[in-house]
Amino acid sequence: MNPVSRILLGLVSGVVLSVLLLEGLLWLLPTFNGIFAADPDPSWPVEHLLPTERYTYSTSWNFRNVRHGAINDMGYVAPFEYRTNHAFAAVLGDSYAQALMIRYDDSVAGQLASLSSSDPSQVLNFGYSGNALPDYLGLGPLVRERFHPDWVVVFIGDGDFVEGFETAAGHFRWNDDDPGSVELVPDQTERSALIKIMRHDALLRYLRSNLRFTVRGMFHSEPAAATDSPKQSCADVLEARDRERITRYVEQLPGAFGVPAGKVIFLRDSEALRKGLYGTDSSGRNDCSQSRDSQALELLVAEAQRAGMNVVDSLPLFRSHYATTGERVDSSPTDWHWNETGHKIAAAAIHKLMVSR
Amino acid sequence: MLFTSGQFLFAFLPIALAVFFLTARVAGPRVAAAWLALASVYFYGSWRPEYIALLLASIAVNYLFGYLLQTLPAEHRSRRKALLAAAIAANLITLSYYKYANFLAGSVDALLDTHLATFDIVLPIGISFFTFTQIAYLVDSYAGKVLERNPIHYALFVTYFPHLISGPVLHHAEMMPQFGRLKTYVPELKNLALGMAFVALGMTKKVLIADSAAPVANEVFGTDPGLLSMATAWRGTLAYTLQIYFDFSGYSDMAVGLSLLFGVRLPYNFNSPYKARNIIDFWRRWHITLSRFLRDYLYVPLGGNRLGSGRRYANLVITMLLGGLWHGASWTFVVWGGLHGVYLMINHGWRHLREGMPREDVGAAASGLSKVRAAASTLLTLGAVIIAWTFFRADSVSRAVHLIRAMFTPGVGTQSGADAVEFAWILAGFGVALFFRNSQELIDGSVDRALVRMSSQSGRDVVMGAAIGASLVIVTMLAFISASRGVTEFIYFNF
Repeated sequence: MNPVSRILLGLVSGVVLSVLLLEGLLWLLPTFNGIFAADPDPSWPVEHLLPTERYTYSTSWNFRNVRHGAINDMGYVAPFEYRTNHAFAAVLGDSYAQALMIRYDDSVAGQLASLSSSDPSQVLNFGYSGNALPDYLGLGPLVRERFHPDWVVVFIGDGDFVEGFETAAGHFRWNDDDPGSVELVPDQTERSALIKIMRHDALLRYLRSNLRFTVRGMFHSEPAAATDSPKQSCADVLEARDRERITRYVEQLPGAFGVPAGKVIFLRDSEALRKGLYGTDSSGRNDCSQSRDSQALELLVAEAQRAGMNVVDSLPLFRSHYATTGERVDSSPTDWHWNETGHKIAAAAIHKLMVSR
Repeated sequence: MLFTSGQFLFAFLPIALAVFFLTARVAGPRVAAAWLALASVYFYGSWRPEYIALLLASIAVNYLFGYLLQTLPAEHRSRRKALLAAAIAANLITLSYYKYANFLAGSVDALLDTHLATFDIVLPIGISFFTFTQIAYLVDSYAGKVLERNPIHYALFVTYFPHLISGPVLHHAEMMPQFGRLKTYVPELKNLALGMAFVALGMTKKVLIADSAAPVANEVFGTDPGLLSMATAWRGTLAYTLQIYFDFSGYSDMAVGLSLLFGVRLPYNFNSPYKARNIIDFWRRWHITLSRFLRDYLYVPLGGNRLGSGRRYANLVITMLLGGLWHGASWTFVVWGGLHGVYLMINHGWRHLREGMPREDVGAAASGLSKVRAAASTLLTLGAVIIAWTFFRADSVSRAVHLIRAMFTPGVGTQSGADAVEFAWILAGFGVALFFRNSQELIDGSVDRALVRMSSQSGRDVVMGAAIGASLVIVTMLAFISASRGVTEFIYFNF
């Protein structure tokens, strides 16, 4: 064998052995696992997770905040199946409601069941990462038809209005032609066999989910915080059609779930404003209080209250808690999602409101 | 472009390396050296292109001054002296303008309330490094010590990308001959294997340890000092002590490794400094090339230890004060340098006192005692270094004083300290710094010796190929991890 062949043999062996070693190591460590989008399902056409899975959640390169949990047979994060045809409450929202980063029992959904002394399986969590306002309206009839909830709790946070214009498959979006309606972007993509096999690869899962690897990020040498572009300009203004969208959204939402307006609770949060609580903006994102999105959400809150719906504003509750205890309500600065304390405070406020009604 | 970024590792470096060796083979070493200088200028410009002109002008002017100093006959002593003074002044004025103008204006303003306007100046990256290396070249040109004056090699010596931004502070005599050597331009498997191992080890230090300690240090040093509890204050200072060592020594390892890929040896910059038994020892182990520069071009010309002990102590303090100021235009760096100057004075004084004392007995008991004494000396030295780092890192002297006060005052502040896991990580980091062998001991020592011991050349080729392959995987993974957090700068980029 000539020297070049020997070197190449060594090189390839070194690469293969190191990759195998890494793969083995990541199998042993709590690498993100079991949280994958399901194939399209005509009976539940919105995007949901691969059903009936045990999952491991962890973030960052060093496996911070390891959580293990279950995904039920409908593809939602819950340690039980949704079998009831008369639920006490349906909880809707994005990753905040999905709450992968805490134990299920500590989430708003879990705590509501506990506080209201109902069977845990009477509070159904439809939280799903990436959901926005149109998703909640679109999910309404599906939830009503199967589960007939008494109460509907909807998380709303930064970006929920403008993200409704995106075209993610399996999600509802604002209808461009009719401001009063939402439309489903059909998910017709069957995940290929290769993708399903790759989901078993610990190294790929680590790169994709723990490190959130992207080629663009790899070739972006500036510190991430300094170059993150805001999703919108602060100069954006709310257009007449936006106002119409919000107004009609509020009108339709209770009916979509088959509940009276007084049984709808909006849980309002703002990551941007929460940063102000701690006197820091560690993410460096250019959030602005008067963006098109924040104006739309403000209008939504005002319209909802006018229509007799309930709004729990988390910010004053969090501010008061931080001022008295010095304890943060989220895992900032590494993760701005609420921690157990944030969920507990929100759940207590919602429960108090339910009782008063 | 940072050493840990994808742009550098997966685009700039492979292209620069491949073209360097290809050009050397096809067009000869001079063209390859020119290519490497050009690539280095591009590397520098990728940060702020507007400062390329400053770098090139600095190289041209200094080369010209150096050429005149080398060629002017020795009998024109006063003219040569004036020329050297003018050249050094030009360098120091440029450095002062970019680095110290606002500091001076601010200090004068604070003293005299003059309301001087501040300047809108962005510090050119690496200016302290390329100014110092060139001053050394000028001084040696004056002293007749410069033997090589190939302009391409000079430009490459200054711009050479592995050291341009954050050192090591190179000496022309150890670099320019390597650029003139034909062997440098032929790729060598062993250099590639050892170079990649240095890069992988340096990146591990930076990405896994320094960048993990950084958020803890940033949080504590950014907190209102009045809120700091004793545990929090220790948490922040210990985290920063780890961060700065692993950040800078990681960078230096990467620089040594990257340069070795091109067949060029850079001097080591660290030798397990936290294992030092005293401050004199610490400065022989920490930022070795800067210590060497300060000794040869500042301490010795000031008189060193040749003018009596009083003058020696004064020289030590002056050298360390200026060394502190070299790091940055702030009173915190002056205090840091001053503290180390005082530490050195005490250390030399203590050593002087001990010289007159009788020697201890030898034997098992004495050996046990000397181990305890050695451990105590190391801890005391580390403690002194940690206190000084507080000034180095803090935004202001008063904030550093508050923090140090919190470190030694039980019951102050309202913030809770670190959890046990975090402290365990910090202690583990110190374990690595205090008890593990350092990069050069591992790679140039153990690994190199193992390769030499291998009797079969074919086996050696396979093993070195495998080492390169494994290092590539490690470096790639570390680049992914670094990108996942948003690539962070090396601390010494600011100097």
